[in-house]
Amino acid sequence: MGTSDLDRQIQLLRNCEIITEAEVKELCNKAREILIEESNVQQVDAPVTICGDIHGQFYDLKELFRVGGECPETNYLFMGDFVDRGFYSVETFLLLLALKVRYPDRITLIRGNHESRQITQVYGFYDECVRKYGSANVWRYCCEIFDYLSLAAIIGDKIFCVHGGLSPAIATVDQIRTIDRKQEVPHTGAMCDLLWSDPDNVDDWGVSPRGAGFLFGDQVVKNFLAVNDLDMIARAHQLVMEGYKLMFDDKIVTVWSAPNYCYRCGNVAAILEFDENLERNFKIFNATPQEARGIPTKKPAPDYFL
Amino acid sequence: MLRPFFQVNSPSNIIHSSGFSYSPNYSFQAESWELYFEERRVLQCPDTDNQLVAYLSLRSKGPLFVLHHGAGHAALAFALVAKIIRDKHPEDVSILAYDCRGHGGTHTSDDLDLSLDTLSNDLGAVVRCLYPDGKLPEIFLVGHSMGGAVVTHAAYNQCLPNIIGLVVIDIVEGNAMAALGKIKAFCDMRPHRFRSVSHVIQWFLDIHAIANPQSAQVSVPPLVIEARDEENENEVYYTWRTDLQASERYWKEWFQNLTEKFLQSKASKMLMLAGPERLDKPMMIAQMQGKFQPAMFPDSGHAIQEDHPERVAQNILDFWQRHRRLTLPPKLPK
Repeated sequence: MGTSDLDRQIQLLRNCEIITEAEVKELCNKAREILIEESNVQQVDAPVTICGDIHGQFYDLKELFRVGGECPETNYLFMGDFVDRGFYSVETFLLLLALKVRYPDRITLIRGNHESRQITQVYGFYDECVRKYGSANVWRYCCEIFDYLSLAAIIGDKIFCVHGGLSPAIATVDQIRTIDRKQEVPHTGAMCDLLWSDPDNVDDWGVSPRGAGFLFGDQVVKNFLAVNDLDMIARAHQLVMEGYKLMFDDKIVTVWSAPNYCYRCGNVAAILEFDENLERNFKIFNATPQEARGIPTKKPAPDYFL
Repeated sequence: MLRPFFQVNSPSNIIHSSGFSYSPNYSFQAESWELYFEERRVLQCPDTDNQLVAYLSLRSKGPLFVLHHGAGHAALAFALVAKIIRDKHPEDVSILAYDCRGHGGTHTSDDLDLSLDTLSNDLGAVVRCLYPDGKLPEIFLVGHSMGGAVVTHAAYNQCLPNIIGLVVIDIVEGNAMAALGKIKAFCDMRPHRFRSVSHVIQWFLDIHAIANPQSAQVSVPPLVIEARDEENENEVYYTWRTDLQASERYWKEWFQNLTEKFLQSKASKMLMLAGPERLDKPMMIAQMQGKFQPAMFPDSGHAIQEDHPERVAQNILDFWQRHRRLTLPPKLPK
């Protein structure tokens, strides 16, 4: 696959048009060669713009690029949950993946809890692949790539980025590097926690109401930062109506990048720019107008609900 | 007026969307509760004339799971789930399912009072009846549909101490309120005369209200009563035990503020749904903020516990294990 082929595919995907199944297969092969070389904890240089959940909201991703600048002009770090729920998980993930293959040093993708075989079969990505390609092959290729995505990233040795949060099994960043990540997201354990946990006002650790991962408190964050000589944690995973939320004396930030989530939640979205001195700048953006996006396919309400 | 009987018009082989199939020779025969519970008890609640039919498997240790059926259903809608839980935890889990007011074998002083306060008070009374010494175990409430609204109301108002967990099956406020208009049409389309209990079982399967024949065989029989034709006394037929239409004045009340009560309840929460598109806006926001545990059954009908008893039972047990205490994983090697 030459650069011109890839550029043509990127152009198609930017117009929200799908590429062929054979092209997806080749793209995934290329992507795997790149991702396999990446560490569980990818080093990223500032300046960089970090993004939270996208969830297949392709036209809002286009808006994100308009607000934050196109790749490769802007260096991006996406913190997972590219797929599910929105109508264009296929186009969204393939565009990000094509950009990764074309500009591997200008975009970093880390894994979210939705980058999983099990979750995508329930929340839409699987069905979308079958609908758009007539078989589950594309879903299968993408799921293989999910297994190769990094689990975390560190910006300029100081900002720790992860989809969900911390794990009681993990005290140091080096421990994350020892995980064998090339697998389906497990139901428990360190890898699962990194993708599922949430910060909360608990002492130390708490049971997560989600049924996976843990709740972790202020002291857990501060200890982790101190032990690993870090300044801050950036993560996604939780819907924030205002687009982003700082907690624990600004030691952790949640960034959410899917405006009007699932076309009904009424929230704004944010991206977070770190400049070369790791100074923060949030950019807020709204959902693209409804008419640009198609209509949700709703299962009809059941006949009775008693 | 002589109403027509429900006619069996089975094609040669019916296959339900959920993958269950049954042959025309399938018996649709009613099955007894005895396969699924250890004990059936009629509970006479103190200071009342209420006699509630409860199905029990009680132990001296471990938590109590209280299973509350939906409107127009009965306790045995949870028969298969109860049996699976009991088989997996024969010694340390107690199970209670009961026919709520106006349903199944239960008879109360006012069978038409299906207000949330009354139904949730009944729940409290039934559980207290089982533990006369007042030493209540940890309690997990599980409710399907209208029963989900009852257990949520009960947990929110802490009608019992020790409510640790709340499991709601396939009911979301926005969706339920939107479907209210359809309930009357459903009541109208229901046949009111069946020649036999087997015909009722088959009817539930034919309209896909229940996809699992094994569950329908035990869950459906308590839903009908024997009646005699007014004009021809020799003719026996079966008709509904519960007049759903008569409960219309409570429909709105059951589901209004369900979301708020669910989210504000102090108990740990799980929501089982027949697909993520059932979530309304507030519940979707809450899910994406990590406020409760979702469990999705996209290949299920509304009666998830009947269609997928194995998975529902396992989900309930995992939920219990998870919330009994905080267990931290071992540290990775440094």
